[in-house]
Amino acid sequence: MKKILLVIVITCLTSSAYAGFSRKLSKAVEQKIQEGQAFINALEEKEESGSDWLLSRIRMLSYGLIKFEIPFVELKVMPMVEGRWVKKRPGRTLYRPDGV
Amino acid sequence: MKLIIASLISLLASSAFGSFPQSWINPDVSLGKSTEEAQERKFEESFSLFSKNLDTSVEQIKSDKVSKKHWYLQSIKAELGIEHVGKFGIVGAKGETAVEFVWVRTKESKELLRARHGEKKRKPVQEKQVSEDNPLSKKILESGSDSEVAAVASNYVEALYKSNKISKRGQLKQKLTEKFIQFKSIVSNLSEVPQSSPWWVYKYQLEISIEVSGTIVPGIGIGNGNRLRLEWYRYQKVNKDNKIFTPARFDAFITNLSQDLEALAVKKFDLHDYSFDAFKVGIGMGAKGNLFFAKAKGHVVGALFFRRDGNWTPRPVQPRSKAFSEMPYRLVTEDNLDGEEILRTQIRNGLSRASDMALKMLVAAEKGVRSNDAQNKVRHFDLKVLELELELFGRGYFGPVTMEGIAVSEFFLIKK
Repeated sequence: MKKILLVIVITCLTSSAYAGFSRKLSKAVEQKIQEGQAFINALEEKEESGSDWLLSRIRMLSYGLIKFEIPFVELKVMPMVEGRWVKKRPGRTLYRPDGV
Repeated sequence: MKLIIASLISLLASSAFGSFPQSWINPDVSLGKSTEEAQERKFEESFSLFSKNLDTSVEQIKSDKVSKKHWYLQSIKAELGIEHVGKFGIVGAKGETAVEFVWVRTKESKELLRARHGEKKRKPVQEKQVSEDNPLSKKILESGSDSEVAAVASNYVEALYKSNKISKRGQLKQKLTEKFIQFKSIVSNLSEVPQSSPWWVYKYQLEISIEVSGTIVPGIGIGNGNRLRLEWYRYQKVNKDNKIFTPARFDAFITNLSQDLEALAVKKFDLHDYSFDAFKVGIGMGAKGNLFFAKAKGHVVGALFFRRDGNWTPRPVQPRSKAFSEMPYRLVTEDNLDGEEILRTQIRNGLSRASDMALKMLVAAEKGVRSNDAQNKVRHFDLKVLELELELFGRGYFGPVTMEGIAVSEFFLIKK
């Protein structure tokens, strides 16, 4: 009986911890993406010069870092999230050497 | 779940005993042909087992449950580090990323998802064609100069300041804007360089990294960082193709490098499922507007991306002088801004050696993945890209990025 209770308690604790972690993680990811989106939105009014090269993709990466310095080894844990924003250029097509 | 744990354990076990051949880490080390061959065989076995286990682990994460918002896992990337002694593994001790695997969901798997969740096939999006006479198109072609990059720099610094990542913004904003404009103005003339090999520059990239870290208790440090990558893609020319080389610019750097890439005997990869079709190289700019290989550890790093067009037909271009063809490359680091000269023959030899390494790695990885393919099951993820990051040394050879090393070149092996 004690064993069953113990298993139930551990399962409850683990699942609630996981649910909490999962909520926090998705909130953190959402926040990072919103920060990136705000940054991108602020650029939309600008246009660039008539060059063959056009700023077409912006990638923003954020990461946390925990370092454990054990003798002779340094272990890094780096959870990261990257947002990629692509801009399409009406009237322009990407270059191909033979125009294909 | 058990399968995932089992495959993860076998993955860690395979990486714990795997290492790169010593002659790849340091070509000056001569161990004798038989020892080197034995080390390469051992590498092939362990890397093949590692790739197989990695592939199995990815396949366990099918993630075929679609949420209410219809999100699904589209691709998976694994990054490997290499220790200074050559050992490789998912968690590299002080190691920079050296090999990347990218899996993409297969068509079969997408069809299964659609069938399971009753999702309709999406119609291909028709891109609006706007003629050159359209005012919107004209706006893109004629407006502004450096306003967009200046705005990016300014907004990025503001965003960092608001999130307390930095305490001072004025100087950083000015420095970033200057760097952006300098890089853009020099590199944007790349399309003026006549093409003389199937390799051409299709993209340039500017990367800015800012990291803040500190020690909370002895032995444990925390921090956070941000990386911004701006990518300029090459569009159809506004002006006609140029057929004249201009030695005073960076034409020699681009022309010679694209020819050296072609000389790698790309045919080596012909019999494989993957081909060597793309190459990234870290670059810096000199005071005179010339380009050189850069081994930068700073906050702003530039890179050029070459792609190979197998159907390319040579065009008449102006013959080049001997001095142009023999113009040496330079390798510059933050500690040595004058840089050191590297002869073209050295780079060619180094690239050839590096492509041999990429080929051997590919053979090993393919062997592992093929054994999983042979199981006659529906595959949900397909290994699409294998990427090898290499560091360039002063004597012109390329070696794996190891402890404290910074990548200067990347070989992209892409599934045909």
